[in-house]
Amino acid sequence: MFRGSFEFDKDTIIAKFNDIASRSKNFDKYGYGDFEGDVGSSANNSNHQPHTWPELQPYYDWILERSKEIFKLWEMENDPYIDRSWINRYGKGGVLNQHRHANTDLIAVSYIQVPKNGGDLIIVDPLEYHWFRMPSNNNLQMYFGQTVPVATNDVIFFAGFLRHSVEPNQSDYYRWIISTNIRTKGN
Amino acid sequence: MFEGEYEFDRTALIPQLEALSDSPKFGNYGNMLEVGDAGSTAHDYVNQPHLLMPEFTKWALDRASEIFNLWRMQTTKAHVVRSWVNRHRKGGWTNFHTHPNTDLVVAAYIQVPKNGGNLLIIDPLENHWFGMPTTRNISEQTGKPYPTMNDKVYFFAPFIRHATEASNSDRDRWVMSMNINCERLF
Repeated sequence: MFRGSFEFDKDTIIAKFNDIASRSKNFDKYGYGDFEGDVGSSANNSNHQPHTWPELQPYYDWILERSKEIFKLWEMENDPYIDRSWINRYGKGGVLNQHRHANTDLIAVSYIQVPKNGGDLIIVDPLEYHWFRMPSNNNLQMYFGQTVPVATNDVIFFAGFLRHSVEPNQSDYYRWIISTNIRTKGN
Repeated sequence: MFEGEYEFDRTALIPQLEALSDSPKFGNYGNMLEVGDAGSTAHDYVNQPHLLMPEFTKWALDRASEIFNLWRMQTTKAHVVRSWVNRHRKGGWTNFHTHPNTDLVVAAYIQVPKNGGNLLIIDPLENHWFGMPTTRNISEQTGKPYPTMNDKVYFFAPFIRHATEASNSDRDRWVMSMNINCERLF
């Protein structure tokens, strides 16, 4: 798990988010029960992928540099590329249930707007089945995962196999994030 | 994975371990676990080596309690389930294995000659990494070497698959293994 920070031009990006959300017919829930409550996602629509937007190119250049560093630590020799990306909007009570990003090497989640009580990221220990038979209180917490606090402009990177979720947004303001799947060339 | 150091009295201890290895129960444990000139007292449930080392056992149990606290176990009260010693002579090694039904493994390196062989550890996330295009998956087949030397003590979770490298020394390599559990509340 790696943490970074990027100063987003929040107003410009959120204006574009709002435009996409209002014009796109399928800005909606994604997956089979992954999302609950007031949530919208552009994951259903490959025409609105943030990594193709000119205004986000400095961010994606930065993402690829960080990904290269992470892949080096992971002993992955080939250069990274962006496989796909999407935006999620969480209204009050909106939740993203536990899930993984299949067929992906690295996930980057960037927090464009996180209001107070907007909900944190939750990560489940990938060794949960190993710990399960041990008499540890961690096994109780492991059902729900470990809380990773997030704030506006945070960027969190983690392996595609890590099961994760999002706490419900308890705020009257939207929580906006960009999710990006990153892979290495040659796989 | 945790590591510590304990100063063993080899002069007093090794003759006692040699006496344990004279038992007819000394030999290969499990199905081809020890290979070549290697043997274990793991079949001998009576003459367990930790009984010869009460001070070390107390030290190891104190460390185990600290680890159980970090792991948020039900209790931090630790006790030895069982112990044994392995002797590796030139060319001998112990194959990859785990320690079932145990909370914590202790490997105490009482005597490690030069070129006596390292401890090899397999990443417990190996199957998660397997689908990724990383050269880790090649080194993962044979494990990551952890250096061993006189008085080194490793503590690790029982589900971690581990082995020893073959000893390339003419002198004996003596390792004591201990399985430690925490007291159950239910």
